[in-house]
Amino acid sequence: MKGNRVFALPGFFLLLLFIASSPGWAAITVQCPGDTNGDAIWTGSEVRPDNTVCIHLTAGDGFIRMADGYLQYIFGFNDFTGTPPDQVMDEAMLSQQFPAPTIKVKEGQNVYLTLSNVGMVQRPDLFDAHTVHWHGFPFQTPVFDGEPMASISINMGSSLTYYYAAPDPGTYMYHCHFEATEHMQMGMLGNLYVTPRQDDLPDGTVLGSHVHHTGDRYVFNDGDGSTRYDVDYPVQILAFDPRFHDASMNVQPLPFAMMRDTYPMLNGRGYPDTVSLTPPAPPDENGGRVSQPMNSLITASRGQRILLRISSLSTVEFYTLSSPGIPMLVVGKDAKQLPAYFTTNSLTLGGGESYDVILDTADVARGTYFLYTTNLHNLSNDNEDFGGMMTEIVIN
Amino acid sequence: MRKKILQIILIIIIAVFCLAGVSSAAEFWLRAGTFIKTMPDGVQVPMWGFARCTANFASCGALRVPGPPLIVPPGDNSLTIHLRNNLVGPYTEPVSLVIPGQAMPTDGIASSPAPVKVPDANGNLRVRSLVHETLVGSDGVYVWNPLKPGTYMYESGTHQAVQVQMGLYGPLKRDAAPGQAYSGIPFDREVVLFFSEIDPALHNAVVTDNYGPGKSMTSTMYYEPKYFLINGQPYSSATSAIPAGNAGQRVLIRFLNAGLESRVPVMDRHYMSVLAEDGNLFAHPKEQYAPLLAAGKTLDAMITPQAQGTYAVYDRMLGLTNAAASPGGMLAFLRIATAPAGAASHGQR
Amino acid sequence: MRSIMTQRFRWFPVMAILLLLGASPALAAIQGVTGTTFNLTAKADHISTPDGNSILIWGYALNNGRMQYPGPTLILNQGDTISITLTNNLPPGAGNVSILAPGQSGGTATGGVQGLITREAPPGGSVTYTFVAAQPGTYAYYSGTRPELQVEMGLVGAIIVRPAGFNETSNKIAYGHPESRYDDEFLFLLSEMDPNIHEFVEAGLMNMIDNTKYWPVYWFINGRAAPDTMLDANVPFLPTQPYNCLPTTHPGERLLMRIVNASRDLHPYHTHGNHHKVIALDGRLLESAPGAGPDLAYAAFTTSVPPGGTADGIFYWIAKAGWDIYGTDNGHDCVDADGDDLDDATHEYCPDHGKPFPVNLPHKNDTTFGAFWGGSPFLGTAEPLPPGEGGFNPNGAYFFMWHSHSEKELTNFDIFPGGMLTMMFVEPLSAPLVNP
Repeated sequence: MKGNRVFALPGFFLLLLFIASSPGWAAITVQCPGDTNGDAIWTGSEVRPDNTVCIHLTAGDGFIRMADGYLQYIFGFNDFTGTPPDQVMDEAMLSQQFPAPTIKVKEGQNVYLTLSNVGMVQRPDLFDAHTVHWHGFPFQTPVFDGEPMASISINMGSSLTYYYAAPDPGTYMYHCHFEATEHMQMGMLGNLYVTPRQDDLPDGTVLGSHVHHTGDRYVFNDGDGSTRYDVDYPVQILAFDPRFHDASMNVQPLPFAMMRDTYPMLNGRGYPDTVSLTPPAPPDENGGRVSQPMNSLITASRGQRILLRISSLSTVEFYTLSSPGIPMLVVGKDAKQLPAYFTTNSLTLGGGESYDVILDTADVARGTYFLYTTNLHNLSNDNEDFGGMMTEIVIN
Repeated sequence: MRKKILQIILIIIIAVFCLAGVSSAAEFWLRAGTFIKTMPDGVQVPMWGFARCTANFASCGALRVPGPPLIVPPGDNSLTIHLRNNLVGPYTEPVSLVIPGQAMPTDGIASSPAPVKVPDANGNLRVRSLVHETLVGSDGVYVWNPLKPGTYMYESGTHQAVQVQMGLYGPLKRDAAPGQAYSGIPFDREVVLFFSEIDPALHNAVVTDNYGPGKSMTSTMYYEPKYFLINGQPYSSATSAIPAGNAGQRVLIRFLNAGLESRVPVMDRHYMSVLAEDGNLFAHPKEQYAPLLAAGKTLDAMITPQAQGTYAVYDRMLGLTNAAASPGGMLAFLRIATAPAGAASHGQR
Repeated sequence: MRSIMTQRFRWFPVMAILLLLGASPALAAIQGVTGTTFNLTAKADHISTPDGNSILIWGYALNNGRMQYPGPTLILNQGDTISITLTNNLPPGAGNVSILAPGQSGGTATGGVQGLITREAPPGGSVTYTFVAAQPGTYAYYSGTRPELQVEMGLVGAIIVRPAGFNETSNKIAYGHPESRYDDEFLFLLSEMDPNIHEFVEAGLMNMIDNTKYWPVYWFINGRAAPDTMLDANVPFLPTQPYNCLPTTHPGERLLMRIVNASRDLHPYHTHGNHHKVIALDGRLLESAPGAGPDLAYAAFTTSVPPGGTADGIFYWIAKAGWDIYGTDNGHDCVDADGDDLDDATHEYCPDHGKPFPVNLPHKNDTTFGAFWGGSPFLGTAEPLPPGEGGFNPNGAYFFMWHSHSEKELTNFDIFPGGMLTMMFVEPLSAPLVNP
């Protein structure tokens, strides 16, 4: 049986890719159909193909600040979609962010993600390659899975383009898998999710007892509207071991066996930075650039359904995340709709797990609530009290 | 006319009783105080705990950890707790009460919970209490309306990283109906297994005012528990078995974990039918022998023991020592008696 | 960084053995012992870790043979009455020993002495446990004597109960329902060790052991740390670690994962390649009512089994890549007569048939190649690689890492890579799985 009519498009664009980006040697090279100048966006006479998304991520090193002010050296990703390829190395070096930029795509989109390795400025002795592991994407093939032992990784100064037909909707995550223990502890971690086709149904489509209206959004193609939400927030559990990061910065042997995370975080910050709308003061060490752009403050109007896309990329511990005053309706685990939803007030996640949780605020009094770990010693920024893995849910 | 007036009066009386049934409130008085708990190896650990008092704090029982069980009658669907802060020592803090799984309480007057934030050294506000506070030497009122049925933990909502670990927690239950934990879930017997931990170094630092900014211990991050307790006691040779019904009966085990780490309670030779967590009934019970009891979690599990005997319940995450000494820790025993003659017997799933 | 270069050389013995055995390594169905009466002996011995360490452990030996870690997997038949006699040959000072078999019913114990949790075999003595393997499934067994020490020391194992109607060739089911059928099955028994405890035991300093300071630095699957997980079973230089963990499958087959958490901690076990469907926990099908089959099964890409507990997952792999995973220049067909979108023989996803590879791969000089990269993105195709690169994937299989996602656990006492890690590989249909 021949493929369907869509199959012709990749072939056509492969030719364009070939024209636009002759694979050279040690060069930043973006592959994006319809994009001829390699900046991964379509401007001027460039034509964007239907249903196509291009992303240009860099991988390298950077600096961030913990909530107690402590400077941390990191490895990470940054988003340079739109930057001409000959400017990427200069702009991206030492600029990486934590967490990595959130990737959000729609089910069925053709996703071309170019990963460019911009090297480690702080560690000129390292020539580590990098990958993007699309954690949880089903029906994977090794070449784009980003797991380096079974696949390929990209060396410094060069680019590798991943292709995915964005799969079933849900909350995934992504991270570098090269020397995973080191690169993940060092911070190459980010949120990734896929939105369902059901979001784009014609206005008035009947879904069981729910009538879809334009603007309604769902976690999954649930067929009945039961995973409908009004506002969504990715909440990623992350944690650092400062001794490990300091050893990396100071070219010392890395303490794998003694790894102990004492900076627990959500979306790259510890409380109270999690609820601050202004990022932590940019470190001088990376040229004064904002490197922690993401807060975790959750706000909604009373009556709204809040979707929490909870994931963990902790490299050491499990964490239990609790919403003591607002019940959690768990509708999905690991980017799959659960056969039976359940209600709880806390979920326990290890690295590599995700949950889709809907908070129904219909019966919740207005006010400020808290989403935090019941492993209570992790309400600390290392030796600083009143911090750590906590954020706020404000119901207006 | 007189008959009609009497009828109206009767209707009003009935209506008043009905309304009283709908909005019946349970009311308790708790005081928080400081006391010493002795471990089986003789180590004395300073604790903060709750004691149950009679109305208006007229007289109080002993401070204890876990706190006194609060049993809300099935017909009561709201709860008021009067809290008195009697913490003493060189270091004290305000306290409060929350019940994870229920709504956040108010003081009965405000319509929203009122968390308390305090500025840090840089002037940034950080939350100290999830709800309104009760200062040392004062009384506070905490109201939950409505109150859902199920198994819950009440605990301080203030500086939880310190106060929960210090001992400010206890069990609370409200059955949906007499003999029914949840609607349609009858039981013959119930047992509470309340898991918790103690890090004596943290307790000693707190009560000697060596905890806080600039002190010898500035955060709880380096928490290292040394004692592991079920129902307030680590295992020792003095531990006696807990009566847990008869063979053939439906025995409801209410698990609670006020520790800071997950536990896995395994009952020797028994599956558990895990029905609910945090007071939320599952659509389908889970048949497990190694359920995960996360930090801060409650689980309701039904067992239907088929044979009489004394059965161990142990933490399979192996918190089974008293400091370095073995045996100890989270080890308890449930004693199942023989089936009474002629009693209804429930099969094992 | 240094670790990758040094670790590479450690991998040569791994693959030398695999290559010597031909196209695919010999794959056992789950290794274990069958029967209804078993004699186990608790005794001490040493295990090896890939960083060159030798650790004293206590384990269960079959009859009075050499101790093994984990203990022998007992493969039982539903409904049988099982009798296990345990004899205690642990070294002096070790105390009593016992077996708990959670999940088994009607258990009684005779002989030995009464311990805190169960009856125990005193030094030199024996105890006999009897139970009925009433329900099919995957279960754990471990010592009930001073468990925080003896589980750590290695006294753990797995029990598998075959359902009524199970047949090794014609009816491979895990539970008494067709939805639990599988083509290949593999055991994943997870454990960990803090070598300080073992050193204290070996030095006769058991009073120095402090369980509250537990700090594991080794992590194992089926008793071995990576890369030893991927060696053959029963290699002569790991005499006390007979089991391996090297799962493999074909596209479209059902691979049954029997996960047993014999450790004391949670480990988030992650399958690259696809989700797995969790059909049972603790030896009980996730079903809404008896006989309904696993209608409450859920898909997961990472499963964290509570310590002592078990999970059964069905892993099924095909590719839906958006491009033809067999390439577009070899004239292969995709024939879907039964309308399930898959080629009836190879399980190729026909909607992607003929779609070209969508990007240009980087220049070889800009690429770091994995040891298990076959040189080509296409399944079943191996392409030349620069000298010294790859070489561990001669058939062009698809390899996927299956591992604990607590990445700290992918180390052997400070050395990366290692620990709780293995590689699952999908062979093209043309490459038969030996002894599936």
